[in-house]
Amino acid sequence: MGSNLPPRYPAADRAAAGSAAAGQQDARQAVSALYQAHAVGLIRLAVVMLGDRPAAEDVVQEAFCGLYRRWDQLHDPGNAQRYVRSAVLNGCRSALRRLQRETRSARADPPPESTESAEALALVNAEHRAVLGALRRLPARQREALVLRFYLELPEPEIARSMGISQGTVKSTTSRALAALGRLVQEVP
Amino acid sequence: MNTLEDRIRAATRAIAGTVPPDSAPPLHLPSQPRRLGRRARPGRRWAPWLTPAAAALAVAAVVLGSLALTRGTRPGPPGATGALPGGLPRYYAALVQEPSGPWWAQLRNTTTGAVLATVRPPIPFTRFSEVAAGGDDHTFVLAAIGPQGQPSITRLYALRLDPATRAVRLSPLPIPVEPDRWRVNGLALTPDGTRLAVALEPPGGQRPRLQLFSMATGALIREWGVNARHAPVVGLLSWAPDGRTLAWSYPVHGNGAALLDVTRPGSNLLGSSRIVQIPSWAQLTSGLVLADGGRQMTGAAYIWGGANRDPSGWMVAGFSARTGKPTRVFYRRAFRPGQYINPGTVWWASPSGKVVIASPAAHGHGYPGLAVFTGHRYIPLPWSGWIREAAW
Repeated sequence: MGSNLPPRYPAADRAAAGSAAAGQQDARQAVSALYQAHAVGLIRLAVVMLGDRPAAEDVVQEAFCGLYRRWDQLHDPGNAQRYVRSAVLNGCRSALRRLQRETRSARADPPPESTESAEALALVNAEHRAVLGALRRLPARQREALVLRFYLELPEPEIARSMGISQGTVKSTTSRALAALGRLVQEVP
Repeated sequence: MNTLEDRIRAATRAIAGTVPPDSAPPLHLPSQPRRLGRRARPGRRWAPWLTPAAAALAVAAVVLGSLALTRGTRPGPPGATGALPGGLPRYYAALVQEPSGPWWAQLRNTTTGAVLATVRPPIPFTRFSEVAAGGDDHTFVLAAIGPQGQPSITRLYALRLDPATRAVRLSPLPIPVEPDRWRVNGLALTPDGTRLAVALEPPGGQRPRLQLFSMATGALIREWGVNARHAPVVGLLSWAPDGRTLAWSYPVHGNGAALLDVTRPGSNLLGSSRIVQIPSWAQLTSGLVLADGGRQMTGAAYIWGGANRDPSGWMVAGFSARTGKPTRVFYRRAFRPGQYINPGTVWWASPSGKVVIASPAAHGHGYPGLAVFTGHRYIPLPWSGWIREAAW
């Protein structure tokens, strides 16, 4: 049961994994336990990616519903956290594409520099606002690479797996994203 | 020093911190988890016979779409036809992680994809992070890092395959790597296999370094440094066939590469390097592989053709190492605006620069495959979706 999992998994994960082994009727309980343990962290990740709290909560909600629907396909419940993080990132990509399409159809050009809510922005200082504003102006892939690398502090191979690209492309994307961000930060007044 | 990386960390944590602990809304799960068996799938509207029909239509659409798209590809349309060109390296080393598996290194056959050997990182290391190949197609270098949960250390290993007996040997190299969280961000073995270039990324605020070691003795031959403000990341290394010029990434002021003549005196990496800019409409998605005596830089790039922030296509091309302009297009593929594109990578270029092994760009979130490109032909090769890095 829980003891089969690596010690890096917190108690909630072990409980979740144990529940999975007990049978599919416990899927609801297991997914709920994972949600309790990780929802805030994943909402934070989605907020960093999207800059919008309600959209972030929707993405996370949908990711956990997806996990629940596919629980019986999960070979290793210890991977549930990774699965749901990938689902959140996929959801963020879709949300960003939707936002981009809406922006285009509304002929609002250029795209908004920041989509953070006024409430959230009021809680961060001007320096952080400048960096976040620049981050929002990066192409979605570059933004994702920087968030995974510097917010989640994931190692390169893990970023490669999350984004479905090679490590070399991770390096290239991160490197160019840093360069672009440096230029954009200087442009932001 | 407050580097850009530190500023990103601080800003993203600040905005993340606006979500208080215990503030997640209640989870609303559907009443029943969806069963994925055919009969149990709720809301299924298709008749069973539609599935094979739809699959056939999809295949036809893909084929027709490929044909249509490749009409714009120069110099010839890609087609999975013909024999493989000669001179391809027989083997490559790949870093692989299968689901819930550890990080392995595998030796694979280029043309068949067969796994010749699987190697785990020696204890206490937990994974391999970098891989480089020599020019003989059976000598490789791996960087192993670990242990988990502690400040990581790195050790370099040689992975050698005896082509006659197929015996594989992993042996530690006598090359010291900076301890205490310095990260190996790139490895490149000279084509003659005698020297190893190592790009090191410091833990924060320090100068990235590029070091050149003797493979035989582990002795440090040369070292270059660069101010982190000017080059926050040094990596994506590639040697010219003569083993004298080393390409490294140089994205800070543009889109291109820096070419370092390792025989020139000086320890300033930028001062000793020549910067080559790629045209801004081609945004590189991979490192540049030197070929044709160092005259050609082979790489993959998004093609930016419009005012919006989406690329209009992707290509594998050879760029002049003198001017940065594309001189040879191996493959080009157009994309619809707004389409999600997984960029591909160039892994290897023949010494003449006329043959390339690359993972082509793919639609959606799928991981790209592998193919040989000659400019006239596109020949798919077996590939595993679990490969995250490879070296030929």
